[in-house]
Amino acid sequence: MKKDGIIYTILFSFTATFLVVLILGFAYQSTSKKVSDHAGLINRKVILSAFGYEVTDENRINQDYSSIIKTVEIDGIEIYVTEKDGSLYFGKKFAGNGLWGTITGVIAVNSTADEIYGFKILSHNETPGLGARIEEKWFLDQMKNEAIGPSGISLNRNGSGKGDTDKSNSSIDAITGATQTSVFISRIINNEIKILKKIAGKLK
Amino acid sequence: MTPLVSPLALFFASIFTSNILLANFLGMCSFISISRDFNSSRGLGLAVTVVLSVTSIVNWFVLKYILIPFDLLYLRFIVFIIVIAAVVQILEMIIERISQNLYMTLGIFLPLITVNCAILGVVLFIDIRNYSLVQTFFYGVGSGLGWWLAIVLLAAIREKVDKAPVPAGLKGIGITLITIGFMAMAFVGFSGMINVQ
Amino acid sequence: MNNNSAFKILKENLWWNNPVFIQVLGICSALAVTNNMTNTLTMGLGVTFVTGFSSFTISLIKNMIPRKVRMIIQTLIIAFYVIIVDIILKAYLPDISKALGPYVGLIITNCIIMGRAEAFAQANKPFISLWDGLSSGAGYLSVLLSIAFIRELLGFGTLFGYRIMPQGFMTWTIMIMAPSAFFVLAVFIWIGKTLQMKTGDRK
Repeated sequence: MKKDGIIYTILFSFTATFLVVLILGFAYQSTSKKVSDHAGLINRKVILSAFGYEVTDENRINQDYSSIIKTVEIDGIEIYVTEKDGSLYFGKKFAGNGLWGTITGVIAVNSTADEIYGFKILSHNETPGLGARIEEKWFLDQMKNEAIGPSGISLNRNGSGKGDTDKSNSSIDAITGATQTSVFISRIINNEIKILKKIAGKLK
Repeated sequence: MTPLVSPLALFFASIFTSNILLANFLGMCSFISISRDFNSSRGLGLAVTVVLSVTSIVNWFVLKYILIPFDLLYLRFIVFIIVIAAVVQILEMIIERISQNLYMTLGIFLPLITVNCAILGVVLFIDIRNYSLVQTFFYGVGSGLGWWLAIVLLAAIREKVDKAPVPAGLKGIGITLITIGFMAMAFVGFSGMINVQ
Repeated sequence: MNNNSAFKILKENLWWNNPVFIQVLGICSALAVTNNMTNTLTMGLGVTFVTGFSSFTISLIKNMIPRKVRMIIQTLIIAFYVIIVDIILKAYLPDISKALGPYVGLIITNCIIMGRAEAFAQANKPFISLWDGLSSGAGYLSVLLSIAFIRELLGFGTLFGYRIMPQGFMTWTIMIMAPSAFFVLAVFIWIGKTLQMKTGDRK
């Protein structure tokens, strides 16, 4: 067969594409269960950590999760509830706008929804090194036990960039160089607080 | 869940504050080699804008109606790049039929574009950020215009810089990179102006 | 494979003809991921793997590829290896895969890979092509790591995520942001070229 002939060209292209797709399909199938298992694991890990349980042993996550977190449905929203030292805490997953796309995560509050209990990020598409720093511990720890004011949480754009440690002022520091993303985060928090306040009344 | 980032904000952000070239570094290879000449820069910039606008829309449909329903997302790199190559080829044919003049200015740049990472990059961002069709359109066009703006600006600056006395080791690429660095800083400065609401 | 020529290729790709600072290829991704050592290392290894094996494969079947579809077949082979890297990262290193985002896919358009395929693999035997690809990747990786070293150290005060600088160290936010990537790379090119000029001809 002639190498530059049309039949050879088509046959060759077809065989090459077929082989490539076949191998890739196989590789994908054989790893897809691992990927989805891992996604579920991360999901539960983030929910646990929003309630203040840091589980480092991956083998224990599923077990701990089912013993600690209870799931109820209120107003069609999935609510996670846990009891710790005699007090009740509850939270939900959120999905809100970031600068570049959806930011998802888990927010937890105390039973009367006047104090944030925990705030964790599940996924985001912010700029690496800038907006992506919303995942850093110092930023997220600002939210922990932060009192919720009458107008929610405010954002301090001129903070130290190291985090606001005053838990009673209902204010968090923005990330230096990523003010936009910080604004979106504070907007998400305030939106979620409104929803959680409504739910707090219906929680037994 | 589709994020509701306003398309207009996305449009301006992709031209200025998050310029595909200066903030995400996409399409650097041809950017550096072509910006030596002002007229070619204009031509390539226009070509990139056109191709980006078309491919981002086409790939969005491929993504939503073929890749996602058939669970073929893992093949997306191959599919996107083939779609881009095909669109470029078709555009080349259309332009050749419509206007010889336009073909002379754009034609030579089109093959270069298939391997321009800005085109593939924008599509991958659209996939990862899960944009709607309207957002895709504005993001695609905005990124193209941003790329165009950046290369034309750089070409204009380079015409002057090439005549300046620069240390031998820094000549050519070195000083160009520093120029791009300053441009990137200037573009970051726009972030105060555009408030993405 | 002849040891002498293998060593020559290594020297050529790591220093005299370094893909990043002499040929200025593939710097899209070079700049984007270098504010963090871990991501840089993963990305660099990915590029090295893809360059090596696509050069090998292309060289292996170069006589069978019809002329008309040469470019598209090369792209197909490159994309194949990139997807393999993507699948491996997703399954075994999900955190890094998330952090790299679209940049894994952009390995496809990394000009180094296509460049090596066209310039070397087309005309040479498979194993020497593999070696050429791997060493080009290593040249790329080494420059990227040096840039990332400076950017992460000054930008975050850390290396591979571990704190190196003392607690009171004032981090340089500019180092995390885009412009610094250009400056650091420019300084590297400056130093590299000046050194090459000083040491004279490569022979």
